Amino acid sequence: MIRVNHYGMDATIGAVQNSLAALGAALTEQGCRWIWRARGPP
Amino acid sequence: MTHPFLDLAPLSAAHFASIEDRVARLLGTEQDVVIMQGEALLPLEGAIRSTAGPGTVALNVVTGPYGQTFGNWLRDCGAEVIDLAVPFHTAVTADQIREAFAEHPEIDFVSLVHAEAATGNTNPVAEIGEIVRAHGAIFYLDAVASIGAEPVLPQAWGVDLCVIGAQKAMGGPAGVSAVSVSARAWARMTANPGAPRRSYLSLLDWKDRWTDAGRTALPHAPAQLEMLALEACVERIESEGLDVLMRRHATAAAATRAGALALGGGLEPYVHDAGEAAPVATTLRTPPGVVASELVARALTSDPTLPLAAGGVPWPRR
Repeated sequence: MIRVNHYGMDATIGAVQNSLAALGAALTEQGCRWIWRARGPP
Repeated sequence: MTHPFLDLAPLSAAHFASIEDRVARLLGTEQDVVIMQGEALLPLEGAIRSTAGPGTVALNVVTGPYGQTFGNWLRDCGAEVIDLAVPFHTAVTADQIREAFAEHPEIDFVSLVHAEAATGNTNPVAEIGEIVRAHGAIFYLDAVASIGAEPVLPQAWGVDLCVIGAQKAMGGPAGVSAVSVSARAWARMTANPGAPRRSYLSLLDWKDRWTDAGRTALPHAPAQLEMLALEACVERIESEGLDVLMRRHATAAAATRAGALALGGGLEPYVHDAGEAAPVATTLRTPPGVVASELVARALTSDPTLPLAAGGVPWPRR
């Protein structure tokens, strides 16, 4: 499980957008690695 | 060498009392408020050990890890404990509390966590308070993760012991905490032979030596830095407006839930019903095969200050 904390000054749309963007990028990167594992590296 | 943290003038009793008064205003209560010199676990444990003992029949609501801890403390005090556990991705309902009282009318103590940051859920305290009060039980509430993020109104809701900490939505220090205490709760403690006395856990020591003594002399040297930080954070909330602060939390939580789904990468809100999701923290399930700690570690490489954490507490599989 992942937690996005909205503590005090972090309770902003900017903090949410940056957090989700970083998670999205990390997911994309991990997704690429799964494909490589399944198909072998390019 | 000078430093803003060092060589501080002692915190006077009047200054300490004024900070207590500001915390009481934040809680909208005229009940006694005691600021405890330690993290919120201090008043959480102190309040249970002061109030419960052999003969206590406690309904302990478990909606996350802290509920489990409270149950252990209650048993340790010699109380009979009835655990009411609900899946951690949900909230307890007022009907479940009503049913517990119907089944065990001897319940005289109810412990509840308002919002659980670890699981991301929040419970309907106002509704539950009505039921608890109707049965004459003492109502103990952990509001550490809700204060500042959503309404916390101990007196209006019939909460007898309401513990807060400043380190979450208030954006303040973790080293001090506070508990509001109703007259009924003080009476229960006074009648409890097992209530801690001459102890750091003791609320009655604070009552005798501070509250009832006119708040003119502190029982011991307070944690100055933490007290000043608590005052600063309450001042900041007063300046922004508590309602504005709570709206910011609600907006951030709603945006996180919507944004996680919109990402399309398999992240999903852990708490299914948005109405049961805490505004203080949004918990997300990761897609199958993705290890949350690895994903968060990778996300934090771009910006280590992002408010992300891995390892919430899922509902235990039995």
